[in-house]
Amino acid sequence: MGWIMKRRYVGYLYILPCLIILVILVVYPLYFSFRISLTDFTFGRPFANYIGSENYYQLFKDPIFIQSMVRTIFITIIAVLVEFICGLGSALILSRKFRGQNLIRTLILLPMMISPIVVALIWLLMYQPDFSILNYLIQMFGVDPPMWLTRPPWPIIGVTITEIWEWTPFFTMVCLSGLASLPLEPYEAAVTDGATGWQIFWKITLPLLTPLLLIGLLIRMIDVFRIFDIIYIMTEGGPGDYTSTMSIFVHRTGFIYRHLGMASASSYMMIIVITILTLILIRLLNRVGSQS
Amino acid sequence: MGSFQKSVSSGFMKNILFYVVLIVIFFLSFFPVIWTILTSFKLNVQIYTMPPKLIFKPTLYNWSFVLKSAEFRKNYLNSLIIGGASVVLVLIIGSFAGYGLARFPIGKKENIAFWILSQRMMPPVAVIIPIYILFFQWHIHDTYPGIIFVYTTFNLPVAVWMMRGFFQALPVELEEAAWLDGSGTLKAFFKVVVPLAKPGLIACGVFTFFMIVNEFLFAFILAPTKVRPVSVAVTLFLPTGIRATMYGEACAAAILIALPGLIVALIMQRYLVRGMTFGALK
Repeated sequence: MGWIMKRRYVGYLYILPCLIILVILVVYPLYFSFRISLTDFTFGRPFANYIGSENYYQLFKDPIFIQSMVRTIFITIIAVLVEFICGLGSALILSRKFRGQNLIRTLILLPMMISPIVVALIWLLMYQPDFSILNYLIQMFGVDPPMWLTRPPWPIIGVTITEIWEWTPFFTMVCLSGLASLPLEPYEAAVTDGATGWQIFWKITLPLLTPLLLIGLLIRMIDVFRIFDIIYIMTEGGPGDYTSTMSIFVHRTGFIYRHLGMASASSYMMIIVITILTLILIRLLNRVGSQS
Repeated sequence: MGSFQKSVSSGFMKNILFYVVLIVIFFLSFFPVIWTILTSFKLNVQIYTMPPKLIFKPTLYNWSFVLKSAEFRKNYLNSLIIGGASVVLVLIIGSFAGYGLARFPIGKKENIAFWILSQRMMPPVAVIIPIYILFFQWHIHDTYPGIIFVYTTFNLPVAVWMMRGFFQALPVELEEAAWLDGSGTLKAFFKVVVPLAKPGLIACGVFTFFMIVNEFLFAFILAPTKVRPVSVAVTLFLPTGIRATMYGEACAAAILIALPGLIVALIMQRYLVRGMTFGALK
């Protein structure tokens, strides 16, 4: 059976191109970036000096960096939780049979399918202070509309609302697919036993959906954490540094203030934080998963 | 599904409440988009009024402004070129790797597969600074090869994972027959496996294209002027020092920008779900 032997090393040839590309544009840049992060490398200056861990030390003394980090974690947790709850709720409603079901289910995914840049632009229009339809609707209820993108704390709320609006359909979609693939037997048993709708939801539906929901939560957390385009288009991190997230901080430090060493150090901090968050989430979810 | 439906409808809520909630959901997710479409048909005078006008005399001014803009058309073409080229490369390299991980005895195979997928976790900002410097050193900043290279790399992890799933679902017997006939694995791959995996390749390609035409950060930093794709072109309409946001024009442009991804997404919705969950949802 010569082909079995041949398969042994041929397999490596198949994955080699992919690995080479990942090494060139991921592994090597990360190594390069770590070296830069130990220097005071600045654009326009020919020489960079080795300064050890000074950049990291400075970062922890920089209130703007710490605030950006806390803000990013805050937005991530709030946005993912709200998206999750709204998505699951709307999926439960949409899973009912009604006329035009398929059409509505597709149309409702629209916010997720249009590019984030366009989403940012749409909400820029919604939050516009002078002639926005959103503020007009709020005024109809007799409430003074907030200065959405200029007066704290509204900019951060406005940006988070946009993020939630765009990605709630993701959970709707995940939950709808999950609900459609649920086995029938437990429900038949529960109905025979006379269980109520809530009991069925908590004891059967939710536990059965859990594995899928965990993947959904993980994916969303990773993606909200890197939030950049929405904020960049809507506020550029402003007013001041008020909506600056870690991505915005790295961009601003590197490409506007041109401190590439410092920017590399903060991008490394970002990798560390998202790794920790992922590990916490996986552990938390494992515990929830094993309980139910 | 039946009993679950019944439990929801009889236990949870009354009919009217159901339709009210349905309309609210629909309104919330749809209204901002509809308002953007309406705004794209308004002149500035009609946009800058309070109360906002729902009924107005529509104009095509913004649309003709955007469509006549040579810069915008060039950016649009750039997006299609960059997206198309990257998709082809992702499919070739990704399906090779996916096939290798699906079919061959490779040491620490699961670890390699997870390492590849874990690249999806890394924020793009974390590598943008070194890549920016390296691209200047390699003289590929703001060129097609540069941005295509980046998009190929960063869409590979999910593509490999998706393709691996598709290949694992295929029956292995046909390939084994081809191998025993004496054809090399490469020949068997192209003659037997690729035709069978065509739906998978389409799904993977559609998803990758969708991700690329919607991407902003890499394009903004690494392809800012000469090969600027259309996702970055929105910045043309944002306020600069001397002028305010051109809302009418921006809305028309926004609709055009969203269109390619949206069409692809609506037609191939199922594939999109698959890609967004790394193949966890079929």
